[in-house]
Amino acid sequence: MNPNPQANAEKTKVEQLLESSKSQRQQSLLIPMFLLGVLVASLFSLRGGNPLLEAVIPVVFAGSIVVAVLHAARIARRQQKEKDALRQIDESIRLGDWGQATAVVERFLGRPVMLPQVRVQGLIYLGAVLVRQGQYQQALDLYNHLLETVAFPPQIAISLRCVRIYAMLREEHLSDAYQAIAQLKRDTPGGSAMLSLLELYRLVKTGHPDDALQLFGQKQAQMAEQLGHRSCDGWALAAAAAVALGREQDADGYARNAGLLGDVRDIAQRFPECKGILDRIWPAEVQVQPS
Amino acid sequence: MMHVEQAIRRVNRNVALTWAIHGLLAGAVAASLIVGTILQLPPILLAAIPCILWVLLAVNGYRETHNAMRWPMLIASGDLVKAEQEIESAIHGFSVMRSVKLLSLHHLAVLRMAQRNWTDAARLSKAVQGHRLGRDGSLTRASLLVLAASATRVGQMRDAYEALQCLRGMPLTLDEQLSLLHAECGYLGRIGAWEAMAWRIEVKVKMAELMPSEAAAQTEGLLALAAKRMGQSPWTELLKRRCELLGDAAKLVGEEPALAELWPR
Repeated sequence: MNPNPQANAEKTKVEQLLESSKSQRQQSLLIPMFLLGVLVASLFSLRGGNPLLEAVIPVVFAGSIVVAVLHAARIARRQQKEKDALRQIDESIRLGDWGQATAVVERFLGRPVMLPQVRVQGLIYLGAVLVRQGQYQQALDLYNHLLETVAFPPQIAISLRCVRIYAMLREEHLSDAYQAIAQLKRDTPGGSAMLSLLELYRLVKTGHPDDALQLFGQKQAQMAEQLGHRSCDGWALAAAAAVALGREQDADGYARNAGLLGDVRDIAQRFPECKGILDRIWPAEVQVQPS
Repeated sequence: MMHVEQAIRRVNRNVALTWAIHGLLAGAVAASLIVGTILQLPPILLAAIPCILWVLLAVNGYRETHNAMRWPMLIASGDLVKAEQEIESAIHGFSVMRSVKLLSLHHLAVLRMAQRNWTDAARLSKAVQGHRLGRDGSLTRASLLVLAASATRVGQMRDAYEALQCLRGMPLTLDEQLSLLHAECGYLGRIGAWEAMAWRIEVKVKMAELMPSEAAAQTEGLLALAAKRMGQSPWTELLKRRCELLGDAAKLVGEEPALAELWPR
């Protein structure tokens, strides 16, 4: 039992959302309903003889088609609404509007979601929201559940495993994170910038700044290419490593680059270990961008 | 590699065939009802045959549409050979849903963009625009974005301008807004409209931060040049430095020769 009542409440909320969003698979009734209508009408038609039945059969047939079409239209409309909600969550997250993202994701998962893949995408966004709120253990549980129960395409699975490793590092599960990184390295022989970033973070957290700077030197170009502006995280972690080694001038340069590429408050929120050096180079009153 | 003209011809032919098949099936239903009544055969049973055939063809089309959802991921992950194979087989195959064919043609245009074959991408997206597209407009917008970007690259400025004008009047998703900004900067850079490009530069820079690395560097490079031309040197310095952090400046100049002004040899 988690002693933190807020964490328990959150966990209950995650479980509730997992339960409430389960699909009712209404769409599977569509084709059987249509075929049943056709079959019944055809069988009665074959028997013949009864004028009442002969009058009713076309109505049954036409009725089954009308119902099927209306049902399909209703399902299509609802699925479109779900996809729109998903897009809204995605855009809110990318624009950093976390309040909006939280509200929409909770509303979205608070009722049954028709398509399983759309539900899973919603749950992935819920994980992102939990990470942002600092509910790392809940995010870990959610990602473990998803990775165990859903067969993801390899690239999506790798991304989820990366977020899970980040949550492990934030929860100080350093040994688990080490193993998870090693496993992911084995599974992705070419490596990825996100994985390098997590390795860098682990090295900074476990007090191996030398190795961290060496790794950053090797992977900086890959991070820039694959992560774009989010490679600011790599620069910030390199700055923290340089501070740990007493290389203040290098640290200042790295922190300056981090602030040029990204919002320093966001970086410090993601990697609190970098807050000191970022605050030193980018104090609150200094504008990151020219006015 | 599939020839573009051949792909366009094939899709046009298939779209015409799709209309014919829908007409034929509708005619078959009507004929079944009439013939069944005249010949004293169960008309409902006769009409059910084309109806079931229709449903089966539609289900097959739905499955093909579902397969097409994989192509953007293949292209984004750089698996261009596999993407080309799948798109080619969808263009060659038969489908009763014209949207599948048009989607195939559009994704072929996206693929050609990824292969830096701008001429083919422009031709394909123009061909897609020649058809009546879906009601929700997502294919229209996606295809116009490809047309705007590729036509600018090959110097078909009128096509690019018209595509950009159409897009400006449409409600766009965030991804589409980012693609529009990228295409628009390329276009404005080519025609030398630096003042228009530098207008609300702070918003454009914020948006560029959300783009993938290469597009972000190109957009910010062009914005840096616009800021330079408009005498806004703090922006120029900031954006130049960002481009250098995002990638190789020489490569960027290779892609956008106008940027040589920022990084002279």
